[in-house]
Amino acid sequence: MRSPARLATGTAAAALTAAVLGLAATATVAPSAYADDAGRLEFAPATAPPGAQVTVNTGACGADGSGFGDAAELEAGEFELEPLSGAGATGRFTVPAEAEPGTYAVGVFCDNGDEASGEFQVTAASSAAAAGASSGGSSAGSSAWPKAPAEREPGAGKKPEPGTGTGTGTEPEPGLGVRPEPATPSEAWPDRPSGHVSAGVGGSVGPGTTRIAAGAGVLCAAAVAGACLVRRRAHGAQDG
Amino acid sequence: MNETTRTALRARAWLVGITALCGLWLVQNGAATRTDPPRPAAAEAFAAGPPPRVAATAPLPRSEPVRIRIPRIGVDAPMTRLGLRADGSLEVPPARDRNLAGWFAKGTPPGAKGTAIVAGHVDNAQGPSVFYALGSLKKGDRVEIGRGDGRTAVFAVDAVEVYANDDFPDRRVYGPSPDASLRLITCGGAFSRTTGYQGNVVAYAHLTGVR
Repeated sequence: MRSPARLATGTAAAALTAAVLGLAATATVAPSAYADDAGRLEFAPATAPPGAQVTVNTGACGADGSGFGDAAELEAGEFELEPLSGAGATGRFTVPAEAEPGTYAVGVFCDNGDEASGEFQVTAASSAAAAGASSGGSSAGSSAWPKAPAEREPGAGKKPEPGTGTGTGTEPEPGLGVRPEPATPSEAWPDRPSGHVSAGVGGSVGPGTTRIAAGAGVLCAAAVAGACLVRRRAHGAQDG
Repeated sequence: MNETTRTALRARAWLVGITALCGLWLVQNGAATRTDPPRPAAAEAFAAGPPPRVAATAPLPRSEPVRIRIPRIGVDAPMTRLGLRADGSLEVPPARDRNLAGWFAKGTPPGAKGTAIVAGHVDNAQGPSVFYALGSLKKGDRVEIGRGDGRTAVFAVDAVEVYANDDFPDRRVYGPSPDASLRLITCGGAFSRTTGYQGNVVAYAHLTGVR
């Protein structure tokens, strides 16, 4: 039977918990506190047809210039970032052959916590010749990107790369490194772990020690009781 | 000795005998069974359905983690830095310390934007270690990480899964994430004396609060 005092305390605690939970539930994700920090992404070419390789540049990521890009909306997966001389980072992805024309968000997440995003436009495959030729301000010539790889790709007038992402492999550039799609995650993420963790040897695997302990306890009790009985019987025999 | 006493004594003797037999059975049964570390229930996997909705909080600035606490399973341990082994896999804290967890120091510190990776032993040769009970975590459980900047990052568990060693989903566990995420990893799965643990238990969580 609970005392009224305990009941009151319990109810008060429950009410307080409910209030706190209610407050927590209404707190939404902070509206991008990073909106001011979020950089822009610049694409070269700014638009491209399926199969084209697109270079992404950003001023985010600081001097380290490392992180990952996410072109998942295009189904192009993730791509690695490398430092750009000066500040910023650059990366590369290939527009998949089956991508539909349209505008897709591409994001970049830096190791230093910065982020940047941009919108990339996929054009229809047949308009390859028109795309990329410095359309709009975002691909305003290589002067915007110090040592940018834009020199290598004068728009999509170049033959589009095979959509399977085997990479160019033809024009090695020191520092930027043309490389094929990584075969294993550790290649794409040179600084991330890969594979399982070896964190146990089985020292905790053993017999049911609780049961053994309980059994031993019960045996001891039985032994003691048995001894008492024998004594009792002996006494009884003497008296009786 | 009169008849009543004799009967009483006989009854008690029987009782003692039966008790002894029970004790013997318990010992024998205990010796014959094997206890493994807890394994995550199927209900805690991603495939079993979404976790109870706990709103995410904006990520914090980067700061070194110093302590991990998981109240429901009694974890309260300091944290050390981990690097990579020669084969590219994650280092683990020294096995001799049974109350020490570690975080991948080249990655994201817990609470900052990205995927924070924390690992600990399930056991060592002497017995259970810091993450022995990781497999018994449930969706919605709270994980707290105390940081060097004085703040405590609070995470909620989204799922707990077990993977075979030779089929480890690298990208899912170690890959980047847009908000402040956490992965807790330890050994688990099938165990045999000759091959050891055959898998890893991975708990996924996201940042839900700061204290």
